[in-house]
Amino acid sequence: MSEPGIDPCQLRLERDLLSSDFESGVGAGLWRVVKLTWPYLDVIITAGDGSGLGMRILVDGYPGVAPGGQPWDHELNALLPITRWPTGGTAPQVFNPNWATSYSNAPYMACDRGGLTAHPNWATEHPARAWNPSRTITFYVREIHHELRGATIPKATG
Amino acid sequence: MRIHTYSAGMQGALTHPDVPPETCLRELVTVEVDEVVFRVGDEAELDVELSVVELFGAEPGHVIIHHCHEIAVEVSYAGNEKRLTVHPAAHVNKVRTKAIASFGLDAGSSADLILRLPGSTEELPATNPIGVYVPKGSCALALDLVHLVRPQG
Repeated sequence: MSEPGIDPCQLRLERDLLSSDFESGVGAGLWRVVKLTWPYLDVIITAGDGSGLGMRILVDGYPGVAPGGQPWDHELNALLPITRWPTGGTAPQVFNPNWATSYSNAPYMACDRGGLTAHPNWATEHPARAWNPSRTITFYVREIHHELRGATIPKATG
Repeated sequence: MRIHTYSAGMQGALTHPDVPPETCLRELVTVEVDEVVFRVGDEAELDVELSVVELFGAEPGHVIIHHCHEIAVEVSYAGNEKRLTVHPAAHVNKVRTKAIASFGLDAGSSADLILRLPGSTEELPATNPIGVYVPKGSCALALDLVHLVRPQG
């Protein structure tokens, strides 16, 4: 039974954050939750150099609507400066500021609502990598983690 | 506490959502005579007579019940094959890393490689224990190492 006053999308997300596949990623050090302040989920996803990429993910409409993520500085509670976006490996193709600034700083990926808004054909042409309502938040963070495996996160300067 | 249990041939986990910390692991798992319980990601056998808080502290626990002590994995990549030996509790991610190393692939060309079961289009989740893909009665597994296709334009 749903708790009164709580968005059923939030309840669904909270359930999925306790699932074995999400928690196994936490246990393996691949990602972790910083906080959930509905409708935003703040996470840190581990990159290839062992550092973490902060992301703020808009999860309203979950799971019917694809999550919408952006690189995020959790300490400053602000968009991560472009100079600190992931570099190396496949990350520059995904975290591409030239494209992202027109799509709420989204990663260029078929799991993200920004990518699917720009390329609705990806849902049918790349179903293995596209969000659909049967996906869970684990799929989203796993897809981001894929693209960070060969990446480094530039340190803050100054 | 939450305890997630995996077993051979069962690709999803069985989750015990509200386990009192003093509960013995033995109360949560059914272990056949030829099976052993391992912590996922760890090759050490778990003592099922210990409580879950002794085994996992305050963190969620992930265990796999398996009949193999090692699994022979035959990995196919670009028409070539390599044979690996892995522990049933090893994460798929670790098997992937070993497979990439066995083919001598560098980091640049391997970042988008994933493991799949032959004939499947679904990636094996990196954090699953590899033992779940081995059915009871076998300690062998065939896998494909393939490049993910990244949507462009």
